[in-house]
Amino acid sequence: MTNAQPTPITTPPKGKPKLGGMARKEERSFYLFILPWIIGFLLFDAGAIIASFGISFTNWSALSAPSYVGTLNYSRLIADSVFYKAMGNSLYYGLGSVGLGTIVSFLLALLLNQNVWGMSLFRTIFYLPSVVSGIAVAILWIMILHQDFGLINSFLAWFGIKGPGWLVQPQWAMPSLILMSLWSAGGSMVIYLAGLQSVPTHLYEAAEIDGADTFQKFWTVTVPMMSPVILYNLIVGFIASIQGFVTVYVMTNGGPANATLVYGLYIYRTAFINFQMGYASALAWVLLVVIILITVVQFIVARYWVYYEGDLKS
Amino acid sequence: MQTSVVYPKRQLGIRGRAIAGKVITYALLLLLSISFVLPFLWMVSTSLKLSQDVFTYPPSFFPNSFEWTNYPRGWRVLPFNTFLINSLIVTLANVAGNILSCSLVAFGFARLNGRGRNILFLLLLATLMIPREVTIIPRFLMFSAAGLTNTLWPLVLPAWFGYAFFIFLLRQFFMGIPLDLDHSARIDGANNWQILTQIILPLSQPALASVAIFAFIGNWSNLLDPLIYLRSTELYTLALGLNLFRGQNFTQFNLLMAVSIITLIPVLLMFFFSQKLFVQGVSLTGMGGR
Amino acid sequence: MGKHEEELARELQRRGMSRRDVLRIGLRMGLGAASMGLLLAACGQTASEPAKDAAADGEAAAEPASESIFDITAGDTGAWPKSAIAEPGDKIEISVGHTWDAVFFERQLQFDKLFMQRHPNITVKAENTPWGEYRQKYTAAAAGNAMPDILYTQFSWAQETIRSGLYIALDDYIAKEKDFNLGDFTKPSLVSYQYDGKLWGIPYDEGPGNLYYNKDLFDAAGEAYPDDSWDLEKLKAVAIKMTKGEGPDKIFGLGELPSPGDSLMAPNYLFPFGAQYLSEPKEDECLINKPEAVTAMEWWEELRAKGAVPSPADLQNVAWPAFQFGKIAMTLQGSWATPPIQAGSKFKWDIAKWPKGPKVHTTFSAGSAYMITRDSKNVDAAWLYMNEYLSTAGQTYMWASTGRGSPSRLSAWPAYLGSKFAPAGAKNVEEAMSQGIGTHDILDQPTGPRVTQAAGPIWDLVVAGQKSVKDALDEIFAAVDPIIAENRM
Repeated sequence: MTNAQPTPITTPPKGKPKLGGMARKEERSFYLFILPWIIGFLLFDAGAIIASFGISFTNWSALSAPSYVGTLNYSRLIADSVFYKAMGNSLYYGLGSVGLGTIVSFLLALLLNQNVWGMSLFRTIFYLPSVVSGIAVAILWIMILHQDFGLINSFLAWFGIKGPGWLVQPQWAMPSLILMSLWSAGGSMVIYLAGLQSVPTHLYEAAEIDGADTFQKFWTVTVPMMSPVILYNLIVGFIASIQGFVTVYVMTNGGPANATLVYGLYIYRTAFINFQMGYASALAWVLLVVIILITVVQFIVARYWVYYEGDLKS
Repeated sequence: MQTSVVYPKRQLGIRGRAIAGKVITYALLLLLSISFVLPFLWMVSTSLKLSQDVFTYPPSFFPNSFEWTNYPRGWRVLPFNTFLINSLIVTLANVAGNILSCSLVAFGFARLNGRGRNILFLLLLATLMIPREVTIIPRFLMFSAAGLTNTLWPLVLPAWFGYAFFIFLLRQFFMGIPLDLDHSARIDGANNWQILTQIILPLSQPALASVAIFAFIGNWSNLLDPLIYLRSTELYTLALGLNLFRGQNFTQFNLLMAVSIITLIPVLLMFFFSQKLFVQGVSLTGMGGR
Repeated sequence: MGKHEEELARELQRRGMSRRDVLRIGLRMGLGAASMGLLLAACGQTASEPAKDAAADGEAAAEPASESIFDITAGDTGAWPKSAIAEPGDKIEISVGHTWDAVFFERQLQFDKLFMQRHPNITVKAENTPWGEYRQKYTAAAAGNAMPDILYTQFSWAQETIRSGLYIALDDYIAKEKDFNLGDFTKPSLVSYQYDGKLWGIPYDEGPGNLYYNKDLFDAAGEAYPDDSWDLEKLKAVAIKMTKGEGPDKIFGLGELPSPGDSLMAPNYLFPFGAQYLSEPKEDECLINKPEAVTAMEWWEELRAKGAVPSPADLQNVAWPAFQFGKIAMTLQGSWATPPIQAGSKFKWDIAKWPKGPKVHTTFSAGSAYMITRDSKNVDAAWLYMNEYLSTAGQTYMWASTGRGSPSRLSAWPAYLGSKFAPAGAKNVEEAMSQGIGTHDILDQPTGPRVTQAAGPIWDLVVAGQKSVKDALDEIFAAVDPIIAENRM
C-alpha cells in the first residue's frame, strides 16, 4: 500500500483468485464459518418467512382458521389506492431520511473524530437522542412543531409570520418527520466513527507528503476508505426506514390525510387493528420484493464507487 | 528581510489556524450538543416534576420543585430489581452471542469464497427486509410448539446464530482489511481460525465495539420480543416494565421518566467507556496497513 | 369535615403525593381556606415525618407499611357474591390478562391477593401488558391457542374477536347465579359484548362522553358554568365567546370538533340534529352525506372558522387529553378522562353533561370488558373470579373507591360518587348513564376500524382547509360504502 490516493478506479484490489485445487477446501471452510447463521436461519427465520408467504394467499384474521383465497390479496393490493400512497410515503421518507441522515451523521462523525478534550462526552451526548425514551423525543418535537403552541411558530409570530401546522398540513407533515429523524443520526454516526478510526493513518501521511490539502485528503483517502461503511449505512438505513413506523405512529399516526401513512404502519394496522393477516402478509411480501430490488441495485452501483481493500474478486 | 518577516508570520498563522480550528470545533460541538441533549434534559426535568407540572404551556423547562422521591417511588411501583436482572441476562447473552457468531459468519462472507455466496448473502439480508409484523405470529407459534414461550430462551437463543445487521456490518469492515495480511499469515502456516482471531478481530476493534453497543442497546430497549414471549411478571425486562407506565388512559410521566433515566444509565456508561476501544483501533489498524 | 380532609390527605400521601401535591389537589377541589388548613394539618399528622418531604431527601420508605399506594383493605365492603359454582377441589391456577398502567396494577394485585385468601385452591396469575402493544401480544397468543383464562377486551375489537370464537358464552353461568342481576349493568355497557343472542363478556366500565370545563377560564371570562339548561347552540356561542388571544397564550373555547375518523362521533355531533353516520346498529348503510348530516357538520365547522378550536392536538398521541394543559375552556371526553385530568391539570375544573340538541339529547358511551377465553383450562374457576371481580363489591373495590370511576354496574356508582376522588360534577356522569342520554350507537362492528381509517384522511383535508364539508362527506360515502357492504350480508 504505497498509493496515497486509493480510488476505486486507480487502485486495483489486491485479492487474487484462489488456485483451483484450494477452491474446494476454501468452499468447505466458507460453509463451516457461516454454518451458525445457516442453522439459525433454518431454525428461526425460514419457517416464519415461508409461513408469511403462505399466509398471503389466505384470508386469515389470526384469530380463527385461515381460508385459501388464491391471489385475491395480491389483486386487491393492485386496486388499493392506500397501498400506493403508503409505498410512496415510505420511499419519500426512506430517501429523505437516509439521504439527509447520511450527510448529517457523516459530518457529525468527522466533527467527533477529532482529538480534542472531552470527546467521549460529546459523542455520548450526540448519541443520546438515539437511546432516550421515544416519548421524550416525540413530546419535545411536538412542543417545537405544534401549530398553536409550538416554539417555531411562536418564534415566527414575533415577526408577524403565521407558521403552518407542521404536523397538521399534509404537505408539511412528512418533511417535519424527516427533519426529526436527523436527531437520531447517532446510530450511523457510531458506525462512521468506527470506520474513520479504521482508516490507516499512513495513508494520510502519504497524501500529505504528496502535498494534498485537507479537502483533497478527504476526497482521496477518507471517502474511498469509508465507502464500504457508507454503503452499509445506505442499505441498512434504507431497509430500516422503509419499514419503520414507531416515530410516525407516535407523532401523527399516519395523518393528516394519510400524508405520513408509511408502509410499516399500514401493515401494522392491517394485521393488528383490522385483523387481516393475509392481506398484511401480501403487503409485506410486495415490500420485500421492492427492498430486494433496491438493495440489488445498490450493490450493483456500489461496484463503481465502493472500494474494498480486501476484496476477494478482482 | 522578507523571509524573516514572513517566516514567523507563517508559523503564527499555522498555530493561529490550529487554535481557530479548535475554537470552531468546540463552538460547533457545544452548539449542536445543546440541541441533541434537549430530549434528555426534558426527561430529567420531567422526572423531577410534580405530575401537574409536567405539561404546561408555554412549556417550562425547570421544575418548580425538585421531587427526587419520584426516583425511588417509580422504581418501587413494579419489581424493577427483577426486571433489571432479566434485562442484564438477556442483554449480556445477546452481546456475547452476537459478537461470537457474527464474527464467524462475517469472516466467512468477507474472506472465503464458495458457491452460492452472493445468493446466501442476499438471503441473509432478506431476513431484515421482511416486515416483522407478519413474521411475529409464525415465530411465536414455533417457539410455542417448542415449549419455550414464557421463558427467556426466545430472547437469548437467536443471538448465538448470527444477526444480519451485525454480520453485514462486520463483513464491510473485514473487507476493508488488506488481503495481503491473510496471505502472509497463510504462508506462515496460519489457518482460518487463527487469521480471524489474530489478525482480523484485533484490527476490527471499533467495528466490534459498534456491534457490542448496538447489541447492548438494541436488546436493552427491545420491547416487542419480551412482550410477545413473556407472560409472567417475574420474567419481564426493563423495557417491558417501563412501557407499563403508559396506560390506556393514564400515564404518570414523571415516574416514567425517572425510571427511564435510571435504566438509561447503564447504556450511557457502556457507550461512554466503549469509546476507548474506538481509539485503540486506530493505532492497530495503522500498524496493520503498513 | 375535618375527618374528610384527614382521610383525603392520608390517601393522597399513600399514593406517593407530597404535601405540595395535596395542597394543589385541595385547591383544585375548591376547598376553602379552613378546609385547606385542615388538609395540611392532616398531612402533617399522617406523614411520618413531614419535614422529610420538604427536605426531599429521597427517603420515601419512611413508612414501610405503606409500600403500596393503595390501602389493601380500603374499599373492601366484604359483600362478595356467593356463587352457585363449586370451589375447585384441587389447587388450580388461572391467568388473567390485563392492561393496567403500572401504578394501578398494584390495586389489581391487591384484589387478587384478597381473592386468593377467599379461594385458597385458586391461584391467580395476573399478566399485565402495555396498552400500546396489547393487541399484538394477544393476537399472537390467540393464534397459538395460548390465551390466558380471562382476557381484557375493549369495545372496539370485541365484536371481531367474539365472532372469531375466542370466548365462551356466559349466559349459562349468569343464569345459575341468583345475585348476578344483569339489569344492574347500564344498558349501553352490554351492547358490544352481545352476539348471536348470547353474552360473551362482562363489562367492567362504561362511560359516557361528558363536557369537561375549565372553571378558572370560565371565572376569568365571567361566564356561567355549563349546566343542564344548556343546548348545543349555547355551547357554540360560549365557545366562540371564550376564544381569545394569540400564539402560546391563546384560549380555545372548545377542545375538538367531530371527525368521521372517530368511531364515537355520531351520538354527540349528529344524532342531536337528526343525522347519522352509519345506520345503527347494523352499520350497513352510510348516511353521512345526507342533507341533515351535511348541515350538522357544517354547523360544527363554523367553530373552526372562528378559531375556537385548536388545530388537532398532536400531543394527544402522547399526553391525552389536551384539556389538561389549561388552554381549552371545554372539551368532550369520555368519563375515563377524569383520572388523567385529576393528575395532570393545575386548574379548577368540573364535569357537566353534554348539552342537548334540537332533536335529541345523546352522548356516546363506551367501555371495556373481561371475557373467559376458549383456551381456559379452568372455566369454572375463571367464572368464580369474574363473578367476584365484576360484582358490585368488586367494582367498588377496583374502580369506585380508587377514583377510576365509570363502573358498569349502577349499584357501584354511589361508592364512586361518595369517594374523595369524585369531582362535584361526577353525578352528571352517572345521570347521563341512568337517564338514557349515553348511547352505545357508535361504530363497533368489525368494519369500524376500516371505516374510520378510510374516512379520517378525507376529513383531514377539511381540517386543513383544503376541501369543503359537502365534497368531503360525498367522498367519505364513496369510500365507506364498499367497506360496509359486508354488513349487508
